[in-house]
Amino acid sequence: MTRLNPIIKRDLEVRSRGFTLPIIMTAVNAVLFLIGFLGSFGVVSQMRLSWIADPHPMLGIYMTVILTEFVLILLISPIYTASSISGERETGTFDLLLTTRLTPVNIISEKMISACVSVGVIIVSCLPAMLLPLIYGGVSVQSAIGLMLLFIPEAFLVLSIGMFVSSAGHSVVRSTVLCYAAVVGLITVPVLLPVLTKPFMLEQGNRLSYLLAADPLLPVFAAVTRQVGRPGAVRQVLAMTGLVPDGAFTEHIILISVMVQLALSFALLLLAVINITPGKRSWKKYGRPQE
Amino acid sequence: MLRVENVKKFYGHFCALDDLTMHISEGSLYGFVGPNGAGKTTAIRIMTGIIYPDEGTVTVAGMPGGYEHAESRSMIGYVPDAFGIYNNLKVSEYMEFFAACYGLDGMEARRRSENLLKYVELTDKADFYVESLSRGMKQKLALARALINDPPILIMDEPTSGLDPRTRYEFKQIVGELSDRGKTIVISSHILSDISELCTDIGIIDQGSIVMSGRLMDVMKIVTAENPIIISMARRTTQAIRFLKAEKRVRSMAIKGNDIMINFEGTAADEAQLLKRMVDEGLPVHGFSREKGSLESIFMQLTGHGEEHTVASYDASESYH
Ligand SMILES: Nc1ncnc2c1ncn2[C@@H]1O[C@H](COP(=O)(O)OP(=O)(O)O)[C@@H](O)[C@H]1O
Ligand SMILES: [Mg+2]
Repeated sequence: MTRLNPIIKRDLEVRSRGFTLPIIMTAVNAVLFLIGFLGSFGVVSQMRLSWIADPHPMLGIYMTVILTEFVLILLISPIYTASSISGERETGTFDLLLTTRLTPVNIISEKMISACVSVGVIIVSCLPAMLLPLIYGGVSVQSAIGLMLLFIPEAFLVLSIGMFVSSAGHSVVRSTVLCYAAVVGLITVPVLLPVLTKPFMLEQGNRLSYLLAADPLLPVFAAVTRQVGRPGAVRQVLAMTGLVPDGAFTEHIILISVMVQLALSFALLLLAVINITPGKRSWKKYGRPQE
Repeated sequence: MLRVENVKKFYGHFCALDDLTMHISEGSLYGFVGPNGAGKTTAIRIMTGIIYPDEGTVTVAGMPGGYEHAESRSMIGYVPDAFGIYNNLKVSEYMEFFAACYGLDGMEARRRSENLLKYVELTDKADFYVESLSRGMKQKLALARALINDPPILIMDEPTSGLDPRTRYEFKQIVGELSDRGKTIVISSHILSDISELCTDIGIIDQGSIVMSGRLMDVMKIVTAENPIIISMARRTTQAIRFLKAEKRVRSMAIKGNDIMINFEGTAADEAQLLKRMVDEGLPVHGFSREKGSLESIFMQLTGHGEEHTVASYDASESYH
């Protein structure tokens, strides 16, 4: 079909003209450097007193930087998809896209790819800030980069949520608000629900804890705590939710969680494709009432 | 070329299109007129395949219409009522973007874009940002964009609304020329006079169905036939009235001084016959005429309940500039 993916080209071109991307990149990096710098400053002044170069306190800063960066990425991602379709509906360009040869799959996938590129650029731009707290070692650069790769499926999930929400809506404001609500919900509910229901569950453990696998925070949290030598943190969280912390689930929690989230992402994208395909579906908002 | 048959469309319980049937023949310039909310946009979106009717069918050049039929879909160029403008994109990029959406590659896309921009006289704006264009220019750009894959059918939703008289004139010039080149064109408006001099065919829609349609000339004939005959008498008006009262074909009468207005049922020959007999009777008739049909008046009559609205918007856009 189309050789040069017009939507990707246009999105990236338009974004390169705006100030949003550079502003976001600067802001995120500023926050991360500030955390890294102030943290290291405190640690280093401690070290001067003791004369020992100990990487361990720095690892706490590394973890803080990582988690902050990750949460920021999750909060930034909706910008790139939550208004992508509802926005075109608002300006009236979406109808035009539908009349061209682009298929709904083309439209959704091209918009996803361009969003991934933009978010990917932001993630990569944060690499120096991420590595700053590692000047005394403790975590190898390779594993830090490996951790950064883990951001990608998580950002992808948030982008998919945004794409889905925006495919169902006609208003940018509404779909953006909905997307943020969904992201915050997805981060908090899988933790809160099992924690709150724990007292009512039987001894064998809380089944609702498996919901944690859908939490985008979990894989990164698990990976970073493992890296800084606190692998027990995830077990603590699981125990808090009432899951008996053993078995394959705890063992492969990162892999399972990423898989679950990718599956969720693709399911949402499929729904988005269905949403934007003109059709005779009577269940749609303006469909015909039951005869 | 484009057939809409018995189309129904519901928004919830509200029936936006009620058994709409339209036949648009090849090469015609079809004026699709109706007051605001009559269902024009809905009908047009159904023709383009963007939305589906709940009942009924659309046929494009003998092929089934609807979104899943890419073949018939790409035969239609669509100019929506909103221009469909992307911010932060230059005019030439806008055109090339849509060319690419039709699978046209670099050189070909550029060539077509340049030709079309020249055609709508926007060549000197090629490097301007789309959002900086004036309303009229945006409308012309939207037209150029709709022609990027050279579709045989062009459907425009209220393209002249909100344009100043000069741009409107230019725009109509272009549309007329496209029609001369053989494109089948549907152009909607809530202002009949705005497009009536342009069209070869007309369809008047009200509350979701066509209330009158046909070739413009035929419609004009029907409209004319509805009008009263005015008979002006030099003298002897009372005798003339008495004479006319005895005539079977005279349905009703109104008198204003020496003018008698009659609603006459019959052909042109019957009219001539009536005049002859009046003269034979020795009645001094010095004027006998049927008022030429005014499309505007019939439009107002047919869409009577929406009259205030139509009149209001008519005035508003007329006084623009
Ligand atoms: N998406 C929609 N949801 C509900 N009602 C709609 C929708 N679109 C149009 N309508 C209603 O359908 C009727 C016809 O609308 P439309 O086709 O836009 O008319 P026109 O273009 O002739 O002004 C209007 O009464 C309008 O309120
Ligand atoms: Mg309309």
